[in-house]
Amino acid sequence: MFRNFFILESWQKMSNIYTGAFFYTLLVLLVFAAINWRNFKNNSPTRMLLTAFSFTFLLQIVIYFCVRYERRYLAFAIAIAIPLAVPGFIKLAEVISKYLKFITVKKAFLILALTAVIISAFKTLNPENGKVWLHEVSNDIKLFCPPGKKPVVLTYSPDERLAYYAGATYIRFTSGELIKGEVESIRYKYSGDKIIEIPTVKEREQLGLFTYRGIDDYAGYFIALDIPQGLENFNSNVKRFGTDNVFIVVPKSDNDFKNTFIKAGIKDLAFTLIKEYVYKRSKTTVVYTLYKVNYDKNELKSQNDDNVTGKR
Amino acid sequence: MFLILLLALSFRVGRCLAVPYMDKDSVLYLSMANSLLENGLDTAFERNPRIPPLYIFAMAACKKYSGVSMETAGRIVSTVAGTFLVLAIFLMAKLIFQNNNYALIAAFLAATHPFLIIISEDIMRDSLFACLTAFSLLFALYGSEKKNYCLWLLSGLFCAAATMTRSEGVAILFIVPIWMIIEFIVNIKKIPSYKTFIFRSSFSFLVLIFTFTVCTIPVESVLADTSSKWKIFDGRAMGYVKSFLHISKK
Repeated sequence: MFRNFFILESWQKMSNIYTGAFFYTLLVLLVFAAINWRNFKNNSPTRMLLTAFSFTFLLQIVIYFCVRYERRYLAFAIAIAIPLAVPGFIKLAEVISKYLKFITVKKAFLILALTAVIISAFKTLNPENGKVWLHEVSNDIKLFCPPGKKPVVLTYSPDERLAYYAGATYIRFTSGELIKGEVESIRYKYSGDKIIEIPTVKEREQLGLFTYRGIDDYAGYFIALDIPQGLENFNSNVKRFGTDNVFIVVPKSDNDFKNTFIKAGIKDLAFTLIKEYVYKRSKTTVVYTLYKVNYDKNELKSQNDDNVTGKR
Repeated sequence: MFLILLLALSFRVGRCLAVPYMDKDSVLYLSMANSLLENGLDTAFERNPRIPPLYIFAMAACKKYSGVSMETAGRIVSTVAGTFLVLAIFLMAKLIFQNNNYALIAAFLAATHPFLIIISEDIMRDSLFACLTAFSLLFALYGSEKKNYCLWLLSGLFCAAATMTRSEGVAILFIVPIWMIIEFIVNIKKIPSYKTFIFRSSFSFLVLIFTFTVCTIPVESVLADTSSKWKIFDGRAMGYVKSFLHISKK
């Protein structure tokens, strides 16, 4: 979370973030605006804008070194940098007209405007990441869930979108691997009516620690349930959250996930494979596997009978 | 200008249609807005008590009065804010350059900037925040240029709204006095009466602060009895500044 001010890598990452957010077109225009600085009037609004930009820029640098930084924090800085780039646009048109003598300044303006539109259209209307699994997996969950029941999604992915699109309750379990942020976010556990801190990092890293999202003072954390946890209790735990409406989703292949249990000597699993989803992208392959938790048919029948007689 | 606004809106709506999924953190906002509509204020902010409330209120109001899904409501708020940001930038550039053509170029650049288009599609607070902060600065500029204290009222109102969207909105309360000091220094030889200048600047800033306070304190008081722990001045900010000044460690 806190970055070191004196490490070059921190500054390199920051410049990558800033370059990506400001975008190359605006940066080029700002450079030309600096060359064409005489086009700025020496007036109060200009000084206000420069003050606002400088303050915001410096504030963002401070924030970068203190919190988990995202480039969307630069939205306002970009908005007030745009008027500063206007003289750059004009200067660039003049330069183009000067070196390509058959193009007038007006035509150069049009060319630049058209280029800006084409670049924007390409960049924004052609999304890089087609996260198709978010809808495909969630659609299958809705398909396999009995009508009238709210699905429950058990997953070790911190991404709640899948459960949201499935209209499901989201319950997270630990993966047993050091997923970034997992150790920090799973700090507490229920102990009866109380919430206490999990004393050891080792306890937080075990596979199959089931958690609920914390609220109020524990917002932002996941709190381990007060149940026997761990791999050895995984099969019994997955049945606690429902009957025929419970699903497990893992960002892993079926073989890899099941091997974890086989290595621990657990052969009989309380869940059945529905489908494995494989998505080939330019540099990586994304795999998701969807399972349905096996349910006790007597428990389901009893639940249905109780519903009919009104006992629940 | 109307055509540029139309271009801005088209890009933003096009982006909404091209991206069928939302950001990871958007689920948080959606669940809070849904909770606000279903259960009221008491439990709406329990998933993130420190979050400023305006964006959540805006999403919930958009869904309630338009009947669309909460996801669409979030996108509508961001898209409309992103489009109005273009207008704010146009008006700001017109004040700066006193030239309509330059202002139109600024509006065009804002309408077609890829990052501003992308955040206008997100179900996140950033588009609304940028728009409100830009208008706050714009009205401060107008108030100063036209020497009209009512415009400073509007600046304070937008500053309050920006702070109720993201805590960084309070930056306006620092930017304005810094700018006033710079104006004093730059114009020190031209000012006919120092007293008048200082009085006018101070009063303008007081109007800004007063409006900001009147708009934000009641909201903080109402939310104090609920699951929200939002404060006008984020207490974590001092911790961040201390960390930074002590040269932050990993």
